[in-house]
Amino acid sequence: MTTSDPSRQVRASTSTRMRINGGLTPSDDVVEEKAKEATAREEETRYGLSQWQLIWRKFLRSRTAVAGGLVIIALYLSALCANFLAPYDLEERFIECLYAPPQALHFDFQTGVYVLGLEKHFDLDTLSTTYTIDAGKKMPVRLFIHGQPYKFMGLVETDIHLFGIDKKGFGVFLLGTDRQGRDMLSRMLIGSQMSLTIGLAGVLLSLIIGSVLGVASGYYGGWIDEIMQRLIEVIRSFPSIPLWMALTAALPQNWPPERVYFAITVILSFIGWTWLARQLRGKVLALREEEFVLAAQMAGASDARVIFKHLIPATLGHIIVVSTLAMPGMILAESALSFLNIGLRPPLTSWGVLLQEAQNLQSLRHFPWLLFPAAFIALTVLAFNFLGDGLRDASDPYSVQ
Amino acid sequence: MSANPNQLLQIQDLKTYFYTADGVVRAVDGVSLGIAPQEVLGLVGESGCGKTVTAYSILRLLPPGYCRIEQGKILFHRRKGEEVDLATVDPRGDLIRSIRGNEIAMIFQEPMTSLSPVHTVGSQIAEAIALHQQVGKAEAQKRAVHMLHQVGIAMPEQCMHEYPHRFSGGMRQRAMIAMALSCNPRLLIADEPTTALDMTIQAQILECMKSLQEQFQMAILIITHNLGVVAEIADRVAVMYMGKIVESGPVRTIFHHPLHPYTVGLMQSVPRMGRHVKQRLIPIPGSVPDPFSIPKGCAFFPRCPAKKNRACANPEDVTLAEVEPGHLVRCCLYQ
Amino acid sequence: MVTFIIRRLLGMIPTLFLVSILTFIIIQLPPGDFMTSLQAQVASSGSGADEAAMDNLRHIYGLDEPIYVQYIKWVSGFFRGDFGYSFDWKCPVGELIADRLALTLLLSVFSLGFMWLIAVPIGIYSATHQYAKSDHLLTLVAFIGLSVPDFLLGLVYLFIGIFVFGTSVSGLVSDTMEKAPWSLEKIIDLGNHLLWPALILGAGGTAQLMRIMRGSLLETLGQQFVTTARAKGLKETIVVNKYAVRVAINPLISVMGMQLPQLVSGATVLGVVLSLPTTGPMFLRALTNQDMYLAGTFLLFLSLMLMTGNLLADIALAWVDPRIQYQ
Repeated sequence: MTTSDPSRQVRASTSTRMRINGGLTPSDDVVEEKAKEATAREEETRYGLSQWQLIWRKFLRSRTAVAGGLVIIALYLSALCANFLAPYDLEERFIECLYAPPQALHFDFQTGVYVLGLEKHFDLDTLSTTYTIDAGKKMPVRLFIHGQPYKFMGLVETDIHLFGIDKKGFGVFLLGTDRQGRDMLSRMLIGSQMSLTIGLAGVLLSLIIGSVLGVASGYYGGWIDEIMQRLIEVIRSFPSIPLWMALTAALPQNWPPERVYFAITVILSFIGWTWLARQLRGKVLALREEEFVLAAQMAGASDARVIFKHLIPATLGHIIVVSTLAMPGMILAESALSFLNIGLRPPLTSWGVLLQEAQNLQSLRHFPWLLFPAAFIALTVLAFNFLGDGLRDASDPYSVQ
Repeated sequence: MSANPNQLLQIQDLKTYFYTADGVVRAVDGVSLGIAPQEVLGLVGESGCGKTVTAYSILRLLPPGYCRIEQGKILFHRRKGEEVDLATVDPRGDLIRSIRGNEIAMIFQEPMTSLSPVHTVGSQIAEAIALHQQVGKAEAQKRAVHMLHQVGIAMPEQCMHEYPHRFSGGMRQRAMIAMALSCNPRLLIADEPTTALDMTIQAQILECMKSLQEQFQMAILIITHNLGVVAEIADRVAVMYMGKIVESGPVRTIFHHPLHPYTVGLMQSVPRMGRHVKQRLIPIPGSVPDPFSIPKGCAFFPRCPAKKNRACANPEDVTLAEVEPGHLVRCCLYQ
Repeated sequence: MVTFIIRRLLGMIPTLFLVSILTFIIIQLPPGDFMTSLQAQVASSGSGADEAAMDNLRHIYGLDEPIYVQYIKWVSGFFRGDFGYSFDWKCPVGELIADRLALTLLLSVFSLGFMWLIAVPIGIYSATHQYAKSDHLLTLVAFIGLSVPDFLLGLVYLFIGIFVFGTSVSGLVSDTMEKAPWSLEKIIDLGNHLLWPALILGAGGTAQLMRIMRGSLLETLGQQFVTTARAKGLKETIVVNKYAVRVAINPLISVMGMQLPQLVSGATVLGVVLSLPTTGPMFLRALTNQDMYLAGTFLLFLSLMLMTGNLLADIALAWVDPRIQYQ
C-alpha cells in the first residue's frame, strides 16, 4: 500500500508490520503473517505483539480514556456491592430527618470519625424544615456495622454494611435525605444498579440483533437487504424519545416491576439496533468484495461460517467502539423516561426516578442535594464517552498520538 | 562543501527527523544533492527510503508538529539572482510561499486525490496564476486555458469548468502538471508522477514532461522507484537507501557501471525483455530494516553480499566519496 | 437535481404510509381505550360510572369498531385536514396541534442554527490548534456538554432563572406579554424566552458537531489535495478554509440529518421541564390518558418533521458536494 504523504508513509511502513484490522490489505496480510511468523522468533520488539496487544498499548496512552475506564469499573463494582456499601435500605425512612442536608464527617482522636447531630426547626419564613448542627451530639461512625439484611450479590444472606452509626432513629447521611427521610446515598447506590444495567442490557440486545441483521443484510444483499433497509428507515423516521414514550405508556399498569424492567430494555433496543445494523451493513458491503472473503468461499465455507468466523471478527473492533458509545444514550434515555414518570416503577429505582423529586422547584431551592443523581448520570455518561473515544482512537491504526 | 554558484538547488547534509510515540525516525540522514539549471535528476530508492521526505523538506511541506529539519542547508538560486537557504525559512512565511508554485513547483503521485474535489480544475489553476503573477481573474483564466492546451488536453475551454472526478487519471495528472508549470518555475519536483497510472499513460506523461522541460527550460527532480522512468527521462541519478545517498552520477554510468552493491542489486533485479526465459530474477537478499533502528554509516551493511570483504571493517565511518568525476559512492569498498 | 428531489419525495410516501400504520398500532397498544382511562378517573373521584353511558360514548366515538376500520377512518381524514378528535380536550386534533408543532419546529430550527454557528468555528480552531491547551480544554467542554442530559440543564436553567435573576423563565412569553397583541416587543420577548431553551436543546448536539468537525478537519488536512494547495504557495488560512473545510464539512451535513431526531426528542422532554407549549407536555398527557388520535397525530407529525429534515439534509449534501449526483 503506497501513500504519498511522507508522514503517512512513516506510519504506514511501521503499520504494515502490524496486522491491520478489517482486512484492509488482506493479501499482504496473509503474506505478512507468514513472514512475521518466521522472523517473530528473532525479533522481540513491538513487531512481536499481536494486533490486540498493540491496540491495548495505544489505548493505555490516552489518559482520559483510561480514566474513563477506571471510573466505569468503579461504578459497576459499587453497583455490584451496592447493598454493602450503602448504610441503609432503599426504603428505610428516618422520620425525624426529612430533607436533612448532607452531613460532613469530622475526626478527633477521642471519638474517631463521627458526624454531628441535627436539630430540627421549622422555619416560618420559608415554611420548610431546616436543621442546625448540634455540636454537642457526636455520633461515631463505625465500619462493618450490622444493619438491614440483604442478599449480597443476590446470593449470600448477610446484614453487614460498610459503615453506619449505632443510634436508632438517626443516621449518617453523607448526601442528605429526601422528602420521606430516606438516605440519598443509599438510594443512589442501589439505584445505580438499575441505571447501569439497563444501559448494558439494552446495548447487548441491540448488539445481538443489530450485528446479526446488519451483517446478514450486507452479506446477502438482494431483497433481504431491501426489506431490512425499509424496516430500518421506517423505525428511524420516529424521533426516539416520543417513540419510547409511546411504547412505555403501553405497558400495563398491573405488570410486575421486573417485567417492566425487561420490557423497557426491549423498548430501548427497539431503536438502538438500527444504528448498529446500518453501520455494520456498510462495513460488510465493503468487506464482502475483499479477497479473504472470496478465499473463504472458494475453500467451501458455508455462508454462516463466512459471516461468523470472518466478517464478524473483522468488524468486532468497530462493534465494540459503537457499543461503548451507545451506552450513554441508553442511560440518558432511561433516565429521561423515568424522570417523566413513564419509566421504571417502584420499588425499582434508578437515578432518573430519583430525579423526579428534583422536579419541584421549591424543593430544589431549599434542598439542592436532590440533584446529586444528575451529577452521577453526567459522570457515567462522560466516562463512557471518554472510554469510547479512546477505544476508537486506539483501534485506528493510522492515528498519531 | 561550499555553495556552487552553478547549481540551481544544492542540498547539503540534510537531516530530517520524525519524532513519533514509538521513537525517532531518521527519514533523511545526511543527504547531499545538487541540481543544475535545466537538468533532470532522478532520485531512486525503495519505498520508505526517504526520497519523498527529501522532496517535501525542500518546500517545507512537512507537518510541523512532530517533524523537524535537524540540520543541513537547502540552497536555492532564485530567479532574481539571490540565494536563499530554504532549511531555515519560516514554513508559514511569505518567503517560502512566494517560492512555492512560482519558482519551485511540485506534482504528486496520486492524481486522484491531488486536486480539490469541490473546486473546478480551471479555478485551481487560475488561482495559482493569479496569486503569483499578479494578473486579474480574466487574464488568469486565459492563461490557464493556454496551459491546459500545452499539456495536451483536448478542449481546454470546456475542461476548465469540470470537476476533477470527471477526468481520467492521465488527464488529471496533466492538469496537475499544467497547474505546476503555470508560473514557469525553475525547478519542478515530481514525486512518483507515473506510479499510479497505467503503463501506456505513463509513457504519455513522461513524453509530456520531457517536451515541457525543453520548452520551459526548467530543471526536474523526479522521484521514483521505477528505473525505467529514470532511464527514459533523467540526465543524472542519485540512489537513496534508508535516508542516505549511496550512489550518484550520470545516468549512463550508473546503469552500465553501478558501483555500490545496492545499486548493483537494483539493476540486477529489474526484469528485462529479451533475456532467456529460464533466467531467474535476482532479488536483493534480506529486508529493509526497522525505521527506528537504522544502522549508522553504511545502512546496507547487514544485507550486503560483499560484507565479508576486509574493507568493510568499519561500516560506520563510510562517507560519500567521488570515485570518478561526477560519480559519487558511499561504500567501504571504494573509500 | 430536481429529479433527485422528486424521486426522494416519492420515496418518502411509502415510508410515510408504513409509519402511519406503525404509529396507529403503537397508539393502540395500551389495553383499553380512552373510555377505560376515563372510567378509571371517574371511579377514583368517587362518582359512579354508568356502564351503559360509557358504551354509548364508545359507540359515538367509534371506539368499538375493529382496528383497521378506525385506522382507515383516521387516515382518510388527512386529506381534508381532519386528524381526528381529541376526547380529552373535546375539540378537533388539528386545532390543538398546529401551534404546538410550529413552536417545536421553531425551537428546533433555532437550536440547529446555534449549533452550527458555535460548533463549526470552534471545531476548525480545535483542529488547527491540535494538542494545544485550548484544544484540550475545548474537548473537555465538549465532552461535558455531551454528557449532561438536557432535561437536567433545563432544571438548572429554571433554578438559575427564578432564584438568581428573579424572572420567570418558564413558559414562552412573560406574563405581562401574554395577552398583548403581536408587536416587535413581543417578538423580542419570545426570542428571549426561546434563546436559552434553544441553547440547552442544542448543547449535546453542539458538542457532537464540534468533535466531528474537529475529527473531520483533522482527517481532511492529512489528504493530498491540501498539500497540493499548500505547495502552490497559498496562505495557510486559505488552504484551511477554502480547501480543507469545504471538504471536511460534508460529513457534518450528514450528521445534521442524524441530529434532527435528537433535537425533536429533546424538545419534547425539555418542553415538559420548562412548561413550554410545545408538543412535549400535551403529548405526554395524551399518552397517559389514551387520547389516541391526538397522540397518534403528534407522533405522525413528529416523524414527518424528521423525514423532511433528513430529506433537506440529503439535498444539502448533494448540492454542496459535486461528487454526489443523483444517486
